[in-house]
Amino acid sequence: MPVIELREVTKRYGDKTAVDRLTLTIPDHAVTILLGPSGCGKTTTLKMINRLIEPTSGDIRIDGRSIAAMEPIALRRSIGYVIQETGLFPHYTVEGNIGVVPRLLGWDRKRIRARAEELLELVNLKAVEYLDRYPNELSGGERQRVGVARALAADPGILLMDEPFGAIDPINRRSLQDFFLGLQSDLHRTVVFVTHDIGEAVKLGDNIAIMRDGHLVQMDATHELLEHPADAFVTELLGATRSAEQLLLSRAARYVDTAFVVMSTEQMRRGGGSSGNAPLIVLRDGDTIKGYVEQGQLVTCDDPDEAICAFETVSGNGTLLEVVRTLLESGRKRAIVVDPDGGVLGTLSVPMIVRIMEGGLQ
Amino acid sequence: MTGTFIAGYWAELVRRTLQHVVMVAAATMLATVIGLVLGISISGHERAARWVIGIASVLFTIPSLALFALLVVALAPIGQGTGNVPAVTALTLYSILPIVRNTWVALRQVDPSMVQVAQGMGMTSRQALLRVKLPLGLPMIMAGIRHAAVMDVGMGTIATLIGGGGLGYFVFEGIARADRSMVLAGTIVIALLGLGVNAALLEAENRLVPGRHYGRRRARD
Amino acid sequence: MSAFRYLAQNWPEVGAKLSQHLSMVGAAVLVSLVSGLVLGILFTRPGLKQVGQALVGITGAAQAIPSIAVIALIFAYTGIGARTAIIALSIYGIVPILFNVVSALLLVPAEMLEAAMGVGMTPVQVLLHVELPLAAQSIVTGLRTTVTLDISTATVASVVGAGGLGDIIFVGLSVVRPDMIVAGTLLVAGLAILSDAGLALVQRNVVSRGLVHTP
Repeated sequence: MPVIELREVTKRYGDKTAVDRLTLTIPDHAVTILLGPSGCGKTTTLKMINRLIEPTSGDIRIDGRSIAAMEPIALRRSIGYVIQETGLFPHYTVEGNIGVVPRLLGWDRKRIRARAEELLELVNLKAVEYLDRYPNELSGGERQRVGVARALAADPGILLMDEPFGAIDPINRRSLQDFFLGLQSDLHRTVVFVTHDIGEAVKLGDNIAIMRDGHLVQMDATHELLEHPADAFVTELLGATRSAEQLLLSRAARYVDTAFVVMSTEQMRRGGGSSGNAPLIVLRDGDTIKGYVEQGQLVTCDDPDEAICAFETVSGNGTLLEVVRTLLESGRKRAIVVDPDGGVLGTLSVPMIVRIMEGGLQ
Repeated sequence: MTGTFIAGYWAELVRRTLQHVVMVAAATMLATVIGLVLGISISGHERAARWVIGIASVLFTIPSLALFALLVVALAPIGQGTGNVPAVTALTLYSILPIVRNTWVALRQVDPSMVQVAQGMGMTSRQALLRVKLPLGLPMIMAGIRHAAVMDVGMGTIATLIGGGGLGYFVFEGIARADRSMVLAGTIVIALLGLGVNAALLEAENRLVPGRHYGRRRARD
Repeated sequence: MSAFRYLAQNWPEVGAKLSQHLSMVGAAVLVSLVSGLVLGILFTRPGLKQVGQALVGITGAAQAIPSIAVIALIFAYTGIGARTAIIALSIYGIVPILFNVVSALLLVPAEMLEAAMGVGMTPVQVLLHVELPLAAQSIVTGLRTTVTLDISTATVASVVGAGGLGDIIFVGLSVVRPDMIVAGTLLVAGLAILSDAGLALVQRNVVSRGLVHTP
């Protein structure tokens, strides 16, 4: 899977410099966010990667190969491109839209249909229901899912996303973001994602590159960036993010307590006593999570079953805020955080989240 | 050559231009009244609208000479088979479509919340029509009238073939006599008249449209 | 009814007039369509868009010039015959097509073109798979206007000796034969209505269902 490297990339329009000697390495398999105020050059940077815009100077490499030496048409066909909802072709059906790139690549009809069905499945839309619909028969959120499916059609290693959820209302935007995270945790593409929404950046980004006036200000892993802003500009930009409300919008998976062991109910009953000092135990029989046992609880109970606590499960792609809300509404003490396949990532409790926030706000 | 012709036939050219203008004006005004009444009465009645606009579209598709000739035959029993009556009738029939269609579309396009506001202020539906819907739809209705008038200038030339007046005389008589300057003189005046009517009504449209002035004034502030 | 009797009794001659009319209109429409499309596409390419913008204004105004004026003007130079009519109709017929092609192509949103390039279409593919399909509705509307106009104007072109169905009506008018007038009128009106209906059907088929707005 590709790494994208930008070296001393500059784009000038007349005497206005949109991007100024930008050097940036975008790691593979991860979501890298280009974040900044409007006019900072983030969209220009994105469009230089698929050569919709040619740089004035500098070099962009994918997997070590300079894209200036590649055929632009072939390059674009090998990169998925998602833009706001206007990007779907209104005169094509959903199948036609998903099949645009495969058709350009000369796939036969059957293969395109099969691929379209597969991709609709992937973006959680029923193929039979959606294949023959036109974009004007879809909701904004459905259109965006189809847009993502179209970008994935020819199985590109790189996805370029230009404010893809910008035109969607806040509630649907949140569910699209969750959907995107779920998809990415399966596909592990190299994603470059442009946004000006800081909450979205923090939620979706593995890394964030902050731009201002065509310059790169800071590029770091998201939590690094939140904890160690490089300068006053970043601090101010993230100001709102670093506040309690915004921190709560971070992904739960990133903060889970991973000190736990998984065992079956049967194992616990048999050997429970001996694990008196074990960390928290998550009980799972087959695919079903039965509950958890707090550290040390087994020692004080005569009947091991009395130590089993009720719980809530939450998705690791959910936000800390959702975890807090779930716990407060249910009155449970602890949430078990799972990944989309049902694997246990760890646990979270309200006091833990409070501690995380205290740490993050220092 | 054409210049000599124009000098020689100056009085005749002016007389026939005036005839042409009167004929076109009469037909456009008649069609405006009919088109507005029809357009307003079909608004809100989807099925009636489909019928009226369908029939007007078919009339509109009939070639001009055919409709003129047909009226010669149809109006002959009442002694009006030739002359200006069938000519103005034909032009009026043609002009109904653009006006009725634009009126209908214009009234349909008015933002429903505007009408609700009007009703909320206590206007009757008649008042809402006259004071809100028609003024808001005016640009579109005016465009329909302009379209009709411009078309009538061109079709009015046919009138001479069925004994009516107007500028068509120079064109058809010129062709019959193989008199190039006569043809050119007529053609130039007709083309100028078409362009002139278009420009004049476009200007009227711009002046009548509510808000355009307002916009201009604000832009200057 | 006498009109139908006239048609039946004079069919060979009437049929010849009809086929004259059709070939005159057909030739002119073909020339107008091809040149309107070529010019329209040319003047909406990057770098020439300003010319396109100017063309919208020019062709918009040119539609105010009566068709008969164009026939008469051409007649002044090429004289009697079908050639005059075909040249005049070809030129006059370009106007509605060019107007519609240029304005529709200029209206294709820039983001749509960028999306098309972004997925890796060549400029020709962008034109064929995105721009023309999006402009199809408007282009066929222009074609319909031209066809209706040509059928009508070709009738009048009888006066420059172009032949066609206009001959029947003109003779009928000059010798006062209502049966001939009505027969000629019915044929030419039927021709116009049928071809417009046919093109409406074509329009419904070439325009993607995704572009038809259901209210």
